[in-house]
Amino acid sequence: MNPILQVEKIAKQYGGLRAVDDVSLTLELGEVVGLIGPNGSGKTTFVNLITGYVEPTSGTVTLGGTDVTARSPHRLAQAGVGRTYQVPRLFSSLSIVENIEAALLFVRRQPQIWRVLTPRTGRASLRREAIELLDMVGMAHVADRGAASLSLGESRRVEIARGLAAARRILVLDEPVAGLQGEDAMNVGRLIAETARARDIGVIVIEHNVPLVRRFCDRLVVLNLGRVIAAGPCEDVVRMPQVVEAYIGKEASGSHGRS
Amino acid sequence: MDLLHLIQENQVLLRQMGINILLAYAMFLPLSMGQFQVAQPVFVAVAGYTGAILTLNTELALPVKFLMAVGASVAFAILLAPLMVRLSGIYLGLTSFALVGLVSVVASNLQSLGGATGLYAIPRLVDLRAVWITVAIVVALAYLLKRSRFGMAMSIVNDDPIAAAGTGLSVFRMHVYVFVLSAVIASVAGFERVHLFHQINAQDFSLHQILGILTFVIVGGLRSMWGPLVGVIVVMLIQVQIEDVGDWNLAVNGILLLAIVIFLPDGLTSLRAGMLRRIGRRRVIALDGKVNA
Repeated sequence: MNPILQVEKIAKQYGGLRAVDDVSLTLELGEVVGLIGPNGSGKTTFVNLITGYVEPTSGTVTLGGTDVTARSPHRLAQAGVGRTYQVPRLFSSLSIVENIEAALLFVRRQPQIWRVLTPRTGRASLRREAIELLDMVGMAHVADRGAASLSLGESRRVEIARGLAAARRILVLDEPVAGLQGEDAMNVGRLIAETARARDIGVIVIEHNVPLVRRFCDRLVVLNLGRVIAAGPCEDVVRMPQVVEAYIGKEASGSHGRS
Repeated sequence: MDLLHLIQENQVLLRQMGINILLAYAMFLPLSMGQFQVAQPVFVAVAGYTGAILTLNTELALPVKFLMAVGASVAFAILLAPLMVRLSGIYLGLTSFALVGLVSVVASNLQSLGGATGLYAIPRLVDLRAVWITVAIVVALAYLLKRSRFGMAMSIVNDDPIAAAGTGLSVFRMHVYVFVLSAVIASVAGFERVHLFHQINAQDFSLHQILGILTFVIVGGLRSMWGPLVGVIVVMLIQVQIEDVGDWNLAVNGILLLAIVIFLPDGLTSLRAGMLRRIGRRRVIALDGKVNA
């Protein structure tokens, strides 16, 4: 089967720093791939490269057989790439359901200025679709509340729903459980794995929480200093000496200990 | 009738007010989307001078002149928009400001535009009613825009342009649209202004002008589509009251602006919403009391 996403030797150079160094990765529909690595290993840059926020220095990105290298974020969203951000970026002046509706609307059609008589949320079907997505992440009960009123965990869930609204093909999650406690984090992990299968989309998850990715990802890719140092099934990868070293080295040098 | 009398007596104020409301909306729309630019006087100038020259030198019908002058100005805006909105934040603001200065210098040095004295003795072809009909159209447009999908897109670009792009919205295109829309309103205001006040000169496009309109917009507030309307009416009525104090009215203007920025950062229109909420809360408490009793 052809992978939905194929990244070939993608690289990003910032001055003398090669933040992402010839990283290749493939993703199948219905698959969840975990992208792990210590801080500064290039995970977020990699995600920004495949979602159009950063232009690659070299390498290619192919989505469903089409070359989409260096396409702008909104065109990638229209092509079926949804994402979330390290710090949730909900639209604070809209209600929660409107956050989802905006994504459902704008991935399909750009707003036309001369159609001022079309109300922002015209069709009931649009709202129904948005509520359905909110229901998947367990947030349908607060649909009409303001987006600014949510806790961090709730914001992350709503953001996943908004990402799903665009993600006809792939969903990219940048630390979806950061700042969440044990049970909450596991619930979100389960949600991600179930959604990938139910909606038949490919999911890439950046995560520091190693127990979580071991449990819910089909495969792991480990980055360190911009390079892939290991890739494969979870149980194999977490035992590889270079992975242990990259992580233990980081722990010993005394930072967060989030893993 | 009393109202007619009132209008008759305040012709000059009402003319100025109408034009200012148009200019305030032209400045408000981009600002409310986080597009910090004050290029509106450029389009007031292009449409104004074009209109004045057509009126002074040709026998064309008013609608033809209107379409030609506004058309020329908007065509200029369409060429300029993609270049301008590539810049953002303070850079866009400064560039737009420099552009206004440039237009002002060119206007005061071009003999064909009357040099520093400008063009004058332009027949009054636009009356008070026409101006206020335009105001009604622009306010209605702003209101409809806010409720439309386009308005939703404007809100999310203002909230978070990065996430807006991530939901499939072309932020660049939105900026071009809003830049041009602002220019359309400014151009109409510019055309009406020269045919209302008989004259146009380079002083009409100065820092002073920009700050004046900005005051209306900030006092009214950026969060409500009624902001510019409320801002212009309130500030101009205050200005009329303090006309006698001479140069001090500039100081009063400054104090008003400071007070708004400090105590009501979302402008006067936020007051209404806040008051309604507070009254609503009080009513709920009162009801609770009754139930308990």
